[in-house]
Amino acid sequence: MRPPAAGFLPLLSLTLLLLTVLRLPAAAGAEATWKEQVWPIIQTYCIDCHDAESQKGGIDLASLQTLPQARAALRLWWRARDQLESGQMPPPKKDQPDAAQKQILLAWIADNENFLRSGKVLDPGERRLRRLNRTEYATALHDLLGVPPELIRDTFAEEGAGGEGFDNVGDTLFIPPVMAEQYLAAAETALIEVFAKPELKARLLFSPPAPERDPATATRLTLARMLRPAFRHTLPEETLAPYLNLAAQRQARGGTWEDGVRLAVKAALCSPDFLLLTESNQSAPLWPVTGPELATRLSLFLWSSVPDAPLLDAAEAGQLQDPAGLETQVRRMLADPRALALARNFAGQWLQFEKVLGADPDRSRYQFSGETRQLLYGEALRFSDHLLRGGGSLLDILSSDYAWLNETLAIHYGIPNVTGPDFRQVPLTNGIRGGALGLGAVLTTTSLPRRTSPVLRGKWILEQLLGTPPPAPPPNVGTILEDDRKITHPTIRQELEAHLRRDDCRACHARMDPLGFALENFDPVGRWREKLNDQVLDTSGTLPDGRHFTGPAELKQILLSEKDRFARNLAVKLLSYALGRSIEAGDLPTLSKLESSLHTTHFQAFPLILEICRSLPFTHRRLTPVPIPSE
Amino acid sequence: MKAPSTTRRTILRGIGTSITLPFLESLAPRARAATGPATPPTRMAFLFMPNGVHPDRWTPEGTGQDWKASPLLAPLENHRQDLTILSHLQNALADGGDGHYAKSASWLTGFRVRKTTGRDVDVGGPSLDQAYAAQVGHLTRLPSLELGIEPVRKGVDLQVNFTQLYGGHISWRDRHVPLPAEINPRTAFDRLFRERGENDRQTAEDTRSVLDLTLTQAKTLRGKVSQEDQRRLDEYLETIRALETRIQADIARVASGENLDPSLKPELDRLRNRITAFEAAKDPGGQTRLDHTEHARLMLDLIAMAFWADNTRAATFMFGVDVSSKNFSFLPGVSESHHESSHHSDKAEKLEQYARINLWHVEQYAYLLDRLKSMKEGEGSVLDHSMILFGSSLRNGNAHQWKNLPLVLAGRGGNLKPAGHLIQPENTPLCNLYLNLLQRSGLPLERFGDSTAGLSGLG
Repeated sequence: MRPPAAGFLPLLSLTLLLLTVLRLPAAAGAEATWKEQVWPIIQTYCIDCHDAESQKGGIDLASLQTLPQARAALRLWWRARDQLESGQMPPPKKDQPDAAQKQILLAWIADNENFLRSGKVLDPGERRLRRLNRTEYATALHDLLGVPPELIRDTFAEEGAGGEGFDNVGDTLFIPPVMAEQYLAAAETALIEVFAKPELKARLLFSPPAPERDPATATRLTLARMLRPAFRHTLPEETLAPYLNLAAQRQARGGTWEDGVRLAVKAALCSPDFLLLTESNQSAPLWPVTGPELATRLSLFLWSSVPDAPLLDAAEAGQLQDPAGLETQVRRMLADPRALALARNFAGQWLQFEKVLGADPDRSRYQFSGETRQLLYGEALRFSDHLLRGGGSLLDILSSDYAWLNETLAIHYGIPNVTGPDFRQVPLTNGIRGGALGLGAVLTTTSLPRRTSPVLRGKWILEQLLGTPPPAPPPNVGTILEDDRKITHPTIRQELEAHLRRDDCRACHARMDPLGFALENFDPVGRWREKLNDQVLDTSGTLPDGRHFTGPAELKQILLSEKDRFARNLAVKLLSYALGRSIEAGDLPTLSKLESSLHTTHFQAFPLILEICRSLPFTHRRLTPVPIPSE
Repeated sequence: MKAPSTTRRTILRGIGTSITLPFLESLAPRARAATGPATPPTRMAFLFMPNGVHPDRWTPEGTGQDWKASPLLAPLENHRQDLTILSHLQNALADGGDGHYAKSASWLTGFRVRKTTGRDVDVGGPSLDQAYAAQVGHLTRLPSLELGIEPVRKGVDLQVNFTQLYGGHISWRDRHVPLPAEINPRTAFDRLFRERGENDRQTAEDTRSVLDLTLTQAKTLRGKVSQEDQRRLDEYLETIRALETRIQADIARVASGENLDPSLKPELDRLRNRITAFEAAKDPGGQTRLDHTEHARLMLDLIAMAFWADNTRAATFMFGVDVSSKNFSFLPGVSESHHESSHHSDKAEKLEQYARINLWHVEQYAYLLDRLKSMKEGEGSVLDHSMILFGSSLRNGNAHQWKNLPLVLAGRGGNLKPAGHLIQPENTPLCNLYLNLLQRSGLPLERFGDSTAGLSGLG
């Protein structure tokens, strides 16, 4: 057998070793190093597949010829490093760089990262105008009017996602022509609900006309209060006036006072001031955003919604520009139930557990119902919320000694002594069920309808937890059978071992498959099993670097040794979600701060979240890209 | 003849009674004025099947009208006089990058798709249906209709650096703006056929005042944002205008007469009842879990009814998003999900399942043709005035082939002459077909996508 090319998860120590052994000649300028030493290696070994024409795997190296271009391609180098170190790229059938050439590439990647981290580039990144996504829109209507979000959310089609994979990325929030009709319909639906429910109606119409309050004053009070959080700042007269006019005209056409207010609210809910997230511009290279703009960034990040009155009060009083004032608000907002949105929308998309809402396991073979679906989702939501806002550590995602269960779910998992319908934190005595890898929602969404998929589970660990996605398989490779009753070899495992016999499969599958084998005790709906087709499952795995483990508990110990990668990936994901854009080279100083915050606070969420809220990209804005210098 | 003048007052009165009106000769003053006897309008629908086909079971034997149905085309036997099965068309600019996403996004556009994880989504140009809708969309209640039965996949495919939204959209308003497919039959039904809630003059005026205010604000805002952001704001302005246009279209239709085809009402009631029954099967707490076949058929019925009522003339339908892993085990003998079955490695058992899944798609297409054929219009049927293309952006899914795509065209809209099995020279651009369809629908185009010439052989 061919010796494995490198570790499954390249060890940091190896990189450090290489760096100390092989320093790039200091005399050469950065420009010369790139042009004379690094670029020729890329040209020789990589460009064939990754030129502007083929762009295999979506990677175009030809666009990186100049040093500033190359420096900016931060994410690409992370991938390149991972795949070089693990021997996945270049593919086995292509010419391979020798060890010294590989080291030149790796050293340059590390040098570039140090360069970017040094803070020579001060760039908050681009923040484009975008609309509220459907989740934010529905949540905002809930917060403004009290209507149930699900009533509103389903008016709109599922949205795609971009950047690091979140649906709040402005680039992918299009406004198709049908949108206005949907906004109008959603506003109407919401208002019908409000006016049908006395308590909601009373909340909106808190200051109706009265002997001491003429109708015009009543309208002004009502709309000013409702529109302030919707438009995310205190309305100047010229913004408020058209809505007052609209209400007055409606009354003049024979409507009641309520009719007038209702129409004005409807107009506000269709207004670009509500639907579109815009920020003011200045001529400076970069500038801090205004208080209300920062308040909006905060409420979208932590609540997936618009700000409330206390937040706007603080913003308009200038308190958010003060670090203590900002911290006070972040603390208050996280303590508020609205911050469950962070678990629902950030963790739900990052860990992909929200996908369980659309999962379709074969119910004739596996124990799955509408109730199971809800329980699996509820467990993942509570677990994530506990890590983000409760007492948990984010490291518990890799392994935890507790789970969030109720009686029905505990029975599903075979865990005794949990009674009653309420979810609660249940201590675990072994290392099997804890962490995200024990969540039924994750185990279900990484399975096929009729069998588990060690490959998908391994891929999930590499992509979602560690941020090191494997490249796509070449075409024409096929997949193995999908129904575990029809496997001709005794086990899926033996079917999958075919991967290791093929050159074009081995490099990546040697990393993915063993991780999945260790989770084979979990069936396609997350239940525990010892056997499959009357065979005792073999849940042992060996990684390319020789590390060996058996079963989920030992796998989690291996993952816990990958804290650095996990921290980087977590920082990338949460920062991207907070900013609503993909991560760029200019974010590296911020990422470094976030990573060290994680390491020094034992992966507590609050310091991480606060650090993001204080960061340059979160608090600043620019229009023109900041150029990356060569030296 | 002078067009009857429409005052603002009649417009506003009209909105309330805007209900669906089938295309009847008596209701076609515009067409009659122009051409003498009324000609029913031409409709176009494009039905997308993800993940390709079993390549050995698709192509029929024989050429022209003498074709002998292949196993996968067997469900279309009843419609053989209305069909053209197209061989050797290809979408060459979809090559490269990744196996799926670029190919589905460019299926109806024929341009190269920009590789991106989301920034600067770009498919090169509008899709075929939208090119047609740009020409005729203002004449109907909805300029175009986009339907599907599977939600768009969220996220980015990190293996190939593509946003998965490309795989979920075949309809593109322009090179940057995808049109999402509605998967909820109730919502689609309401958009197409609901008698508007605003059924009095007052409500119509309310709606107009809301739109007026919104439009004013958006224009003011436009002056304040960066050039980059103006594009997004223009999309917003466009959607407001689209709604105004739709309201106008409703008004124009009502102004043109009050006749309601008596056969339409019971059909609509039946469809509404089926949707209600279908919704009752919803899985608590989850996204809808429903009978997949019924779901597909409801959406296809909506297209058929929309065409019959002349509520729209351009429609797209996605049987699934690309790389769909839909569980097809509801079919006898199938245990695989869709995408996985398409990577069959030439194993007999997997190919068999792949073919059965393909066959299901062809059966649903046949269902739509049955429906359109049963809808009388003028001397013939709605199918006689339609172009209904069914196909995939891949041939053999296992190899992600983009040559010799599986495609069937049905109907006689725009004087199409069904040609049976029409074999083109190898490597003929798919866009040559599209150019032909657009030209015969009255668009004075010389080029579409990567077309080299209009396809010949379609009469």
